[in-house]
Amino acid sequence: MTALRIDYGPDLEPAIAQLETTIADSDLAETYPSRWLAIALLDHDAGLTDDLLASTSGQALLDLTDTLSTDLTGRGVDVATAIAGHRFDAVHEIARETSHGHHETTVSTTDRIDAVVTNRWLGIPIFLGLMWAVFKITTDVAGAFLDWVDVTVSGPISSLTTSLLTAIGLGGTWVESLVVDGAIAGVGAILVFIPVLFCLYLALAFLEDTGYMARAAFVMDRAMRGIGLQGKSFLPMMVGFGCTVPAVYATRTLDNQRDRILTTMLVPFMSCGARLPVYVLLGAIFFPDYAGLAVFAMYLLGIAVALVLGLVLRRTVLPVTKHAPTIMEMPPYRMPTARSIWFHTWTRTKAFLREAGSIIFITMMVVWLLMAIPLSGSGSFADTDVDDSAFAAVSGVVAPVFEPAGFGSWEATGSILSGFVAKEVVIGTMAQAYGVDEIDDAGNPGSVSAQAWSVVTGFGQASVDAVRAIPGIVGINLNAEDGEDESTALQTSIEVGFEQSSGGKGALGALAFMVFVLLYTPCMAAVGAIKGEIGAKWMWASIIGQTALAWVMAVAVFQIGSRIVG
Amino acid sequence: MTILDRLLDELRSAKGPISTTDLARRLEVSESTLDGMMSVLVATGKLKGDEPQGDTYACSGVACGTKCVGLDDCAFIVSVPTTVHLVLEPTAR
Repeated sequence: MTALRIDYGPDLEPAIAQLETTIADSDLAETYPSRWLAIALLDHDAGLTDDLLASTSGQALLDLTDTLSTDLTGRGVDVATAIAGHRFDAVHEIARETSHGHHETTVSTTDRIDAVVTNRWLGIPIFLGLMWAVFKITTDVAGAFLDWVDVTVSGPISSLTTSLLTAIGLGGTWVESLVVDGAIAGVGAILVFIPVLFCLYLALAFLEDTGYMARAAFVMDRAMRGIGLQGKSFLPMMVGFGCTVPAVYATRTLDNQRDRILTTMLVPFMSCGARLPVYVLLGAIFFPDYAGLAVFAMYLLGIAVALVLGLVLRRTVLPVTKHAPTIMEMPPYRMPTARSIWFHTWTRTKAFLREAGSIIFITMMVVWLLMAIPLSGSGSFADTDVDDSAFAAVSGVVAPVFEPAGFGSWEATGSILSGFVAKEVVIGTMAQAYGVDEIDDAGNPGSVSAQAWSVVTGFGQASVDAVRAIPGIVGINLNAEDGEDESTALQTSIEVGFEQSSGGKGALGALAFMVFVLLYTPCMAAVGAIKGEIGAKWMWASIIGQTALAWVMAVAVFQIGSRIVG
Repeated sequence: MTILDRLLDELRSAKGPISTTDLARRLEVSESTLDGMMSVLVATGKLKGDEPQGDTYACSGVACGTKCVGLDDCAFIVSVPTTVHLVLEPTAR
């Protein structure tokens, strides 16, 4: 049997030979094979040092090794890498010679899918197509359940609560106003959108569990590098579609501070789930046939603004550092399990509910209180026209700022102001500010059992409508024969409000409002996270810069749109 | 030029990230062999594994803030693919 002799090439072999000669003439020749020891010395085998120092010729040998290593390094040879490389070559050659018939690389299903999904030209269009499908599902499929929750909250729940309060002698008091107009109308208006968020989280969980999200980071790498970031920066941004706060924390996965700052500054432009209800509601009111497209456009606009801002920051305050080429290991595609998808979806929805029950509830109570305090008119506490309330007065001071954007009413302005606490509050405040008594519109609520039955049948109908909406994702409309959906009183009130504040261009005013909500300062919790992660200076830059940018963009949308529409 | 040099050259000339599958195909080795080669290059300081690797997570600020210790409390999870990058040589001034 012949010992395998690896050729270490023209750079290393002379050094190996010189060491071999020295070893052969030393006392170490009896203990170690000279070639093996020569290679081990060049490879800096730390385990040998003690043994060598114990021998008489060891120190001289180590000195010679250092001299040879220094010479090789000076000639640009990385000794350790070169030795390993020649060994891999030898193993590779042996494997090639001995594995006849197995040279063809096996192409797995994951490889086949990746060839398309991560293709240089197809990757980004496929990503955008998938995101469009996510938002189409979110708006169309969830829409049926949204109506069901809305009718349930504003109908049976409100009327039963009113009946209950009347029965215990609190009917017509401020307590009834607090519970019905404040808690149910405010928080209820937010809870109405749980089906929408549930669908969004469900779709994102599906994409995550299949292993697609790693591919999204891969295909977005090119776009990210264009603004001086790496593909991995896209992952916190994807989290930002759910919630800005964890997305800011997720920037910790980036390995340099500059990338962390830049990514953190861009994350708030990824429209979080809490802003989604605003788009869905205004989209349904002003763009009923293109609600899904309107929502998708908002998300795309957020990404586009982030990319442009990234370019600006890269060329100004955050100059680009060279990013090292990267190897990414893609996880294999998996068929998601129902249990896993449910876990992710429910955990996220639960977090939303928890927030609705805490900070959002408190904020809605504060908003109600401000709306219950009369500053003008003849009303009394909790029995005043909202136009005469403290909330209207405070919001009215700021409202003129938004007149060029077409939504300079105190109702829209107040919604924006309260949205700083949490973006969910925007829709809750709108429900209170554009306040309408939907119970009255519902007519006689009927008996408890009749209302319970209407909730059950309503859910059944919503389920049927949701299933029929699924083909709509690919353009097949099975709900066409249903005709136009009836607008709720709140929707009508909002429509009238925007028409008035925009001088008859309600749709443009609403679009400008959506753009403003998309781009303006992140919520309080996100601002706190930004301060904690990258400091107060960047936090203020985010608050002031984003709000200014949002105003400019909203004004541009309304003013340019007005000139186009005429 | 050894196969490790070829790996480094492929990486240097890449205009974007390379997947391990693609790199293994270009070098005509299996992914497990490539994994071994990458380990050697990480050990010799030519490549550096990004931290964290694999799954990591961040959670909802209201639900758990920065004290996210378990998946059960974390609403939003970011799954970071395992990435290794080339250690850039310092450029001479």
